[in-house]
Amino acid sequence: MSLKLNKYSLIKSNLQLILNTMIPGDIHMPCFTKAVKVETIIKKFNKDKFLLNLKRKKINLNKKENWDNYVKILGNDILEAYFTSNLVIRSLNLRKKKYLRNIKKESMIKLLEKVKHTKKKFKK
Amino acid sequence: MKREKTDILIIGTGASGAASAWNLSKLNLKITCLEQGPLIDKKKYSFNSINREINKFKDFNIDPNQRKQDSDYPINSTNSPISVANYNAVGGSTLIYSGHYPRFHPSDFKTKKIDNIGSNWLFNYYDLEKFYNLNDKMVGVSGLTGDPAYPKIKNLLPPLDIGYSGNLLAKAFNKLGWHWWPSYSAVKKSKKFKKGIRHTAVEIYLNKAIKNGVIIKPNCRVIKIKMSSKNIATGVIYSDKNNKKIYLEASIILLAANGIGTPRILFNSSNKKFPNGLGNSSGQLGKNLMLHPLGYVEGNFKKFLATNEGVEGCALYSHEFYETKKKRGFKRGYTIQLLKSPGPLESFHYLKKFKKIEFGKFFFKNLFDYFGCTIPLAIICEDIPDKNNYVQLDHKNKDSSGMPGVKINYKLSKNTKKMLSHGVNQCKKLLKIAGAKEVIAFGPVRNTGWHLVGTAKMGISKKSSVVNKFGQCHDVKNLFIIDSSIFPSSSGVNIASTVQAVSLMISDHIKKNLIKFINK
Repeated sequence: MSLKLNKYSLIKSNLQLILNTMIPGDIHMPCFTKAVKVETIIKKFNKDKFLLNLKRKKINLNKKENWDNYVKILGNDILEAYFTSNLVIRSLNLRKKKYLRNIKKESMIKLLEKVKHTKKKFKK
Repeated sequence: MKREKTDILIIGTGASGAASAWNLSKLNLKITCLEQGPLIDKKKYSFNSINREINKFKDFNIDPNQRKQDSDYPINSTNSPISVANYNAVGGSTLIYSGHYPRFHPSDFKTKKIDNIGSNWLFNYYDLEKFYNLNDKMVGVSGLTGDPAYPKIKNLLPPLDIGYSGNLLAKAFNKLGWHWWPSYSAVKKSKKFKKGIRHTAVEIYLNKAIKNGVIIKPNCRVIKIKMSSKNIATGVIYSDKNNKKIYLEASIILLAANGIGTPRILFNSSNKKFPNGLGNSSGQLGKNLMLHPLGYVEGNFKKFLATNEGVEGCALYSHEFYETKKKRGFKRGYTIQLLKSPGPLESFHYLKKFKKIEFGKFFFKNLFDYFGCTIPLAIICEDIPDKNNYVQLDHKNKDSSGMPGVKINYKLSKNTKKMLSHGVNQCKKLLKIAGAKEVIAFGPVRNTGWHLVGTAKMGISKKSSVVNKFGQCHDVKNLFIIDSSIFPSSSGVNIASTVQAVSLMISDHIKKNLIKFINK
């Protein structure tokens, strides 16, 4: 493997680790890199000092200083990318269907019957 | 300076300017609309845009001081608990409004007579009804006929779904025996677009006006209205997108720049004859600013109810506390509106503000304890006119063309404070009955000064008001103000429907009396 390729894969794996630790997914929702390609984020932060630092060594996310820094740099961008991805939109819809399965709605017109028969209290 | 000429000039292309532009467009006259903001692609501000939530924090932020675009002007609200929300573009704030379209109550037009507070209008609900109906037809207002709060409103499009949260809340209203009704919305149901189709002033009026020959000039900011020695407005000086000053001569001028922008232009147009602002011989210009103080009450039901979906602005509303009842201890009243809860992005930012969410292991747990589980209610309080609440020019902060910004000076009245507190207590009660496990409330909410009313009020006397019942400036006969600045009272509902109905009424009057104004 060439040195350049090696560095790129280190960036990619480090970034993947950060992103999936930030948004890890749950039973309904995908983790970050399942929803958004890691390359999209690499492209976005192309030539950013933060990205260049990721090619040096394996990163330590338990270090608070590191973690806070990644959250600060990536926070807004990854939220936007994540919640506008098709997979996440689909997952949110599926989650909604599951939770609303047993909730029944009453007819609005039926509910309004009571209001219609209240005394008119408004000054005409 | 370059010179141009038009017959009728409309300053501003928001809700009111657009309605008049269309209404006057069938006349065989040259009509020009100057708009300080740009023309924006419809896809960018659509309800159904995938980036809508993101845009709310960026280009479509409701706060002009945060947006800071060239088309915005600085609005200093350090002396007010409520800051201004607006949008400057072709179509104005309708590009980002929720499309909630209620009418004023008949009683809103005569608060002085009924409740001995505020000021009466010079016309009533029934005088305006014809224009409300025309506007509803043009806009395509969805709703349900038969609301006991109003005289009969006909020809509405089918009402929008009130959603799961609406269902839950409707039952709670019924338990309490309180009034509620599905909202009037400028949103049409659509099979293709899940969130419905919400037309703005661009699609409703401006596109039709353009077809009829009206000229719209975006990125053109009016700096000054010029006058002749005979108290006749002769035209305006405006700054184009390259910051070049141009003199545009006009026979009739319609000012539609909202309750802040309109006094700003008039103050900046002061001259020897009117040193305190054009048309301000009464001294009332800029005064009586009303803002609809808004209270926010949110119930968390600790279960997912998809409250983030449904009608964008208001799914249903209650006018149970709309009009005066002595025992409440305040005059006039408020609307309770059921809002949509925020989407995932807004939810995250909201939780982050209160340190209730972090990235990492508990990200989704924290998010889903809130997202789609809360029912937010807004309390829209009727504001009472007060001369101590006023707008002035802010010479320290200037816009991109060098024109002074605006400073607003505003305090909540005792009446409003009592109203707000009453509203908060009633909403808490309502949400508890609906089954909320946790309820939070605060108000007035700061960045909610959407409805800017009263700063060039109408009246019979030249000594105590700026315009007559047709928005005609007492001091300058060919200058008409057609926006919400002329409203003598604020009502307790969103104003878009009334703004457009009044604008249609004034432009109708101009059409009928055209010869009088053109041959001035």
